[in-house]
Amino acid sequence: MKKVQKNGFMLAETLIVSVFVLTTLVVIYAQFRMINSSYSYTFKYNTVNNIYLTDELRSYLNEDITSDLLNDLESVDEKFIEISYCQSKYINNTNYCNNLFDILEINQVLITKDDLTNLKEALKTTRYLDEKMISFIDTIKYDGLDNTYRIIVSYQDGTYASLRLN
Amino acid sequence: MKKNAFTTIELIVSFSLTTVIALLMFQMIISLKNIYVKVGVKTSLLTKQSLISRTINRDLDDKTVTSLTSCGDSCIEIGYTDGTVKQLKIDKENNIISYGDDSFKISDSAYFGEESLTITAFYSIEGISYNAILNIKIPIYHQLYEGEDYGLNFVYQYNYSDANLDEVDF
Repeated sequence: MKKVQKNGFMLAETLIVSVFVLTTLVVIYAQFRMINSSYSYTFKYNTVNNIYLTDELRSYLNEDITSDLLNDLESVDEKFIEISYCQSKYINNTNYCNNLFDILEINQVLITKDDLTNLKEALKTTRYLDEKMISFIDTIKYDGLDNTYRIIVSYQDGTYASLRLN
Repeated sequence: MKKNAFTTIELIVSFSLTTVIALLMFQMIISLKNIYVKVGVKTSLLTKQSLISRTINRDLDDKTVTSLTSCGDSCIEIGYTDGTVKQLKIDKENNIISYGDDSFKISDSAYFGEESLTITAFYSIEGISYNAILNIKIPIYHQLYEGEDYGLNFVYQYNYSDANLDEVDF
């Protein structure tokens, strides 16, 4: 009777188990990374403190932006206007604006239309903004209100917030 | 047939593979544990930040500040038009921040930075209802996140003809 050789299977078995275990680990790790990045969004985007700060900015901008800003917004290719430097063309009281931006620890302020479809399309072809800002803009949802505008703010601590202008 | 020689090699290869996998697993578990702990700490810090921010900002949004008075180290009293006066106090030894009747204890591993209160007034403003900015900053740091501030930044814009506030020691 021929003896069955079992030893030969040991390497193959180990390899199969190794591949299975490694694949499982990679899948678990990928899932965990995904959850972790979702947490990062929660930490960086629209935190309560930033929403209040952005609301202060909105209260101010509602009173102090010029008509040029909204007119230019209709025509610019970028589909947004950056007012991070409180340009006198767009802001009446530039001194107050600069001080407020400093106090709010603002890095960048964009004014866009509330419907961000055109902006998102424009950003696909030309990278007008940095990747982190683009990632944040991608998360902003439009709820169908016509003729409204939006402020998008990045703060010096790497967080972002956005509110609709009244 | 000489099968025994192969068995030894197979054993070595098997043990090597098992060791590599065990090491990888160990590293991954350590890495995931660190992420889990850090995320937990950050969640706790941001939750406290949100709660305190909401409590104080609700008053700053709904009411008009009429007075600011120092009430000792890291303590100010904020008076509002409705007659209420609320004390904002930081107890650095016990890591507690209190505002009115509300108290918030932050994590023992966190610590407060140097708080500040500033008022910036503008005397040549036209066309807007604000001409002064009150800013209260209370930095909160954590050992796990060196250099990152999870504190509070309150900004209150007002018209100094409605309330002539003076900077006070905080």
